[in-house]
Amino acid sequence: MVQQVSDSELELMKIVWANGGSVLYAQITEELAKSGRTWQKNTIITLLSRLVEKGLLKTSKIGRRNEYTAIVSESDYQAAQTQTLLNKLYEGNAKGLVATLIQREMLSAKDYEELRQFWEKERDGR
Amino acid sequence: MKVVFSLSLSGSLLILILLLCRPLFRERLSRQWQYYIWLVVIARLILPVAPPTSVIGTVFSDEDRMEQVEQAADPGTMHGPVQVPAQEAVVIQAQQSGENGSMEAVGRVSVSGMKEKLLQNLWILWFAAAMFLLLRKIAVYQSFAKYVRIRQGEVSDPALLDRLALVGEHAGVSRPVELYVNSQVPSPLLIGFFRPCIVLPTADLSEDDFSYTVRHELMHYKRKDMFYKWLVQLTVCLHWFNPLVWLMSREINRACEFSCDEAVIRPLGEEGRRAYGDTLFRAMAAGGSDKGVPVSVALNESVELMKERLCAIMKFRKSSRLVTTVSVVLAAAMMMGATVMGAYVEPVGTPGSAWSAPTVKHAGGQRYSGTDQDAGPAGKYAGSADVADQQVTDQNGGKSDLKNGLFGDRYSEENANSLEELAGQYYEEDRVPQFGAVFSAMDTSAQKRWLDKLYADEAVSFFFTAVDSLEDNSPLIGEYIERSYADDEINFFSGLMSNLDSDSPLIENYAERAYADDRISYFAVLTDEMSADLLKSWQDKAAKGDMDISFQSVLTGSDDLTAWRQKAEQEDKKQYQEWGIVRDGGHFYYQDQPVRVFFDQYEGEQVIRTLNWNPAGTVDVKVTRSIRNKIISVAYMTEEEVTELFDTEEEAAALFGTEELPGLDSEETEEKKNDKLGAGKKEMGKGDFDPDDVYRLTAEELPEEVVDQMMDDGAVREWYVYHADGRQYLCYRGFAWSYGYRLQYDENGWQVDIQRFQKKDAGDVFLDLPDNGPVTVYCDGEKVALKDMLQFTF
Repeated sequence: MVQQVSDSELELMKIVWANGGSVLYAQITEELAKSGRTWQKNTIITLLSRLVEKGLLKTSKIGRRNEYTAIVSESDYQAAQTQTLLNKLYEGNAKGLVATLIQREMLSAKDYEELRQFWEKERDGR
Repeated sequence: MKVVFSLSLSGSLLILILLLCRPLFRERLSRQWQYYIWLVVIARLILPVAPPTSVIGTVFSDEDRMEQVEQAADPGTMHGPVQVPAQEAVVIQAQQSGENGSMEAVGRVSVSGMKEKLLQNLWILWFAAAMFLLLRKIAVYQSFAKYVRIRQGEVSDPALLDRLALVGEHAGVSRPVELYVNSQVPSPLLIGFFRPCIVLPTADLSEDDFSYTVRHELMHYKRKDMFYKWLVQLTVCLHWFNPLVWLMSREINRACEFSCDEAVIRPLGEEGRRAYGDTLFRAMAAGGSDKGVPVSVALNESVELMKERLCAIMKFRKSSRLVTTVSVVLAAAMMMGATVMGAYVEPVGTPGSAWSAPTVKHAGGQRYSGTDQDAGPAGKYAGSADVADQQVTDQNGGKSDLKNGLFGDRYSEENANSLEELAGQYYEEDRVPQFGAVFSAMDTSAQKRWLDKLYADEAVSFFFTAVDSLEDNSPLIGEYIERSYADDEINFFSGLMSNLDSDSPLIENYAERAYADDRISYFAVLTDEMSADLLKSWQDKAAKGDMDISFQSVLTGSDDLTAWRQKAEQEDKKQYQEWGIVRDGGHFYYQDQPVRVFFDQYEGEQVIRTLNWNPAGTVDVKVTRSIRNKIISVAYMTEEEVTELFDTEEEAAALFGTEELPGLDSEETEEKKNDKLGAGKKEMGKGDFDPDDVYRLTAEELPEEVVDQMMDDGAVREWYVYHADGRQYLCYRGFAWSYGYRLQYDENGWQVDIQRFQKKDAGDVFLDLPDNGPVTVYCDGEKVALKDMLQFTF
């Protein structure tokens, strides 16, 4: 089970995933700067080391620089998080989740159509 | 076990010193110093090293020596050579069986063995308790650290983390520091040695409060307080039986917070300090009531401590250079203290340290008297085994077996070597006590060879250690006394003499010789060693006056100085009488004529014994005496001789015989002087006054109110007149001269002429006069400035 991460940690994870699952520290600061974040070096390092501790990242040394590699892929993470959500809120009942999404118009009619086609294809494929 | 006790004891003394002195330096020295000075104590408590001679070391080895003596007296250990291996085996077996408690072995162990076993168990008890405490502390700490982290309390707000990072940068902590929030902790704290982690009870703090709190905790990290705290914990565990060490641990915790506060506020201004105090206060107010936080660096502890901390913050001053210097000096003094205090260090692997010497001599020495050279290594080994055996039965508990092992190794190495070579080795290595022990086991001819060498090398400490282990009446001692006397080696001479009994005939013999040879320093050494009777007979001789004055001075250094003095005075009087001189009060009469100038001197030495001036005298007399104090001649002085002494009659009058120049009489008591002065004054009296109503006082005799006033004025080296109860007091403090004075009273009041004679180390002038006129003072004929502290009243 993937551990819960904070928003700031997730932000860092997204940078890692966006860069093909493996980044150097310098790349992280670059990306953060692009999104207008000016976190202190030690803040970033603290967050990264928490991610390492939680098993989402691992570090390896390239020369004197640290490279951070994602252990968990973005989709695996999403799946795990969704599962948690399902379990927590809908007691594992996915129908409830979908119903909420549709009722609250979080899912547009177009999205719904796309999903339906995706689902039918998947089911036929099995 | 003894090592632990000795460390504990000497550490305790240091703790007491620090605790008792704390009120003296609490406000004066930096908190930093007050915090780190404890490291000296901790070092003393946990490092089993000591200089060769130290206070505690001596105490404990004395005890050893006593135990050794006890053992020697114990028939159980008074064994013959045949029993030696058996005895050794038993003790070792007892040790090996240790906990198995082989009843058989225990039953055969001698009394000393039982004692040892008890001590051994004590050691186990100590060790077990120490280990238990330490492990428990570690376990509690670990579970606490885990508990803090497991609560998912990491602060994820990048804004707070940023602030922490900035404070860290500011404080010079480059390493990233973790930040947790845990509502269960009562106060902010820091855990983790290598990955520091600050835990806050809440992150809901104002910007200021957050930065100050974090700054405080980061300061703990930066100063590595965690290591210090654990060092303290280790010390406490090792010295668990010593309540003072627990007290010390509490003190260090407090000192830690104080010095941490100090380090935080040092760069801050007044404003910042106040803000920091506010933070502390709010942190305390917000703190939960959860107690029992294990070893951690907490920001606050209790209301009382907090009050003290707030006070300290507001009183903070940057230390001056003086304070810094004093701190350094005090710290050095503490370290010196710690070193001198020392500890008992087990003499591991040293075949003969000082305390084993008597036993070596006892057992080994006797055997040696019967062993000739061709007994060879075997004989020597037997002697050595004795030493080893003594080591085993020594009461050092747990380490005995280890020591025995080391010891045995050493001896098998040394086996082939002779004692003399071993002695040589110790001599080279400058190990005096070991040398002494080996020396005592040598035969006489070897001892003689060594003494010669040490004497030639002037190795005084080795020489006297060797001499100490000789038999009391060893002819060698007499031999070396003669040699040192002949070679003029007074160091050796005095050391050897002090080794003799006070009734030794040698002392008397050498005293006669030293006197005859005019060797006063040797004579002085001997007077220190003389028996009371002998000393008295020499003093009687001195009192009779037929002795060289320099020898007399040596003899009068003794206690019965007064008695001797009286005797000397009598003898003096007698001798004068024989020559027709009579002394009456301060004046002399020669063949019934009053003497004007009386001059008594030593022949050729230009040393004046007595010089007296009596203006009423009619003749001038010169006495010449030998260096042995015998009067050789008495003669009238010529006018030239008199003017050689005094340029003018006035000058002589200025001296007016109130005080005699150097010689025996100059050391008379103050009262005597007064008597004499009074007599003198009567003669001088010309004015309309009563000289008997003027007194020379000592500081103790001054009326209290005068002393009080004088203290208020801080009067030193100036002339003052104070008035009290119808009297006036002429005072000069710090008048480092012997002096005489002349008085005159007329319509202008009192005129006091002070004549200085001889420089002294210290002194005062206190004169008590009737308060019936102003005082004018002349010193050596010059009028002096005088502060009359009150207008006189007629």
